[in-house]
Amino acid sequence: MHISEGILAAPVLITGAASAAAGCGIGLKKIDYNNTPRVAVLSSTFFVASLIHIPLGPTSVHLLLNGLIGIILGWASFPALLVSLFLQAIIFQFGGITTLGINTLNMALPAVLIYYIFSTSVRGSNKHLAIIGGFLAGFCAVLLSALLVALSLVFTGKPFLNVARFVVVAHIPVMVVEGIITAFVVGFLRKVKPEILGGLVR
Amino acid sequence: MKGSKFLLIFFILVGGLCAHRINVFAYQKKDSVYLQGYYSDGTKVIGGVVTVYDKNGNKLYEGKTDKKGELSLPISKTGELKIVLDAGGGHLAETTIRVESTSSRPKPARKAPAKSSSKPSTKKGCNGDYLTGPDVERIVTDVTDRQFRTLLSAIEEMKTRIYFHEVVGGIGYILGLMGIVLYFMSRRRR
Repeated sequence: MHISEGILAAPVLITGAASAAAGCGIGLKKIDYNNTPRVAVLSSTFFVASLIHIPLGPTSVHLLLNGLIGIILGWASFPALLVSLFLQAIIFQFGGITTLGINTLNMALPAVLIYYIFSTSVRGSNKHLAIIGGFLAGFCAVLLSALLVALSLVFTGKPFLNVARFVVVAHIPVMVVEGIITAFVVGFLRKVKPEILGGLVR
Repeated sequence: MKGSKFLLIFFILVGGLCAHRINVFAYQKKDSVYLQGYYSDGTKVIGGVVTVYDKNGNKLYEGKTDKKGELSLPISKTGELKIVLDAGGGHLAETTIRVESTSSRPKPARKAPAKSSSKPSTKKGCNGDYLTGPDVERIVTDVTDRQFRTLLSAIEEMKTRIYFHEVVGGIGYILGLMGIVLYFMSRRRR
């Protein structure tokens, strides 16, 4: 999911970086003294999750957990993922510094969308609906990220459908696994700390 | 939250440290360039598109990696070659290698005949049964090639491996950043 350096054209990189910066701006406004540790914990969760490889499917894929991050952080997903992706780029050479903006956008935008779509059902009183919402949140976040990656690769001259099929098919196992993980975490958090579901509240 | 994080770390320790990034590893084997592409968890890059450029950026070859993630290309040009491997889905790796002309080898070969001619005269002395210079060179090159290959892949593996201390270090950076943010926020609150 991390787009390497030297693939994308400058306009795509600049658009990605500008959008990611705007997202971070909104996200940083949502962070206050009390919820900073939560952002940091989820940032490190993403940092670690990308190292977990799922040995299914045609290529090598890893967990993202951006659905879970989106449900818990909302707009603050942008700064959280930016920090993780920056560290992954300099420590492990995943992605790269020039593609940092577009990679952040590709991961964090689905997280924010997921927050708007699923946060009410996840917080709601119906337990089954919340679990299903959690599964769909994890599943759809990865799907949306895969589609965004395919979309950013369109301008390299390859047909969108081919790239999209390749990226989406490769990530089907991840979508399922993330759906299950997110559903479990949502079920667990509803019992122990329901107030953290549904974004940061100032 | 803590529990799930520990669970994640547990998965990593059990499953081995794997990640998503591709590497391409190339070296010269006589008259061809042999290359291998793999993801950083060791999965081979099958059907990855390989493009070779010369120093000036001219495209020389294009090919695809086979089921073992390998590809052998003939050399027509010497000097620095840039090899780019595209595994699709936004994964790209590149490497540069120096390709030397195979005909530039007479230099070491000049020394070899001296050795091989001195050997038979002192030991056996029978004609036609001793190794000639080019033969010795070929055998030595074969053996060193094999050894270098093992050594080079070991170095490559060390370079691309993800170490546990790097992971812990990354988490440390995030926590440190959190500390800085909290520090400034607490000053503002006062």
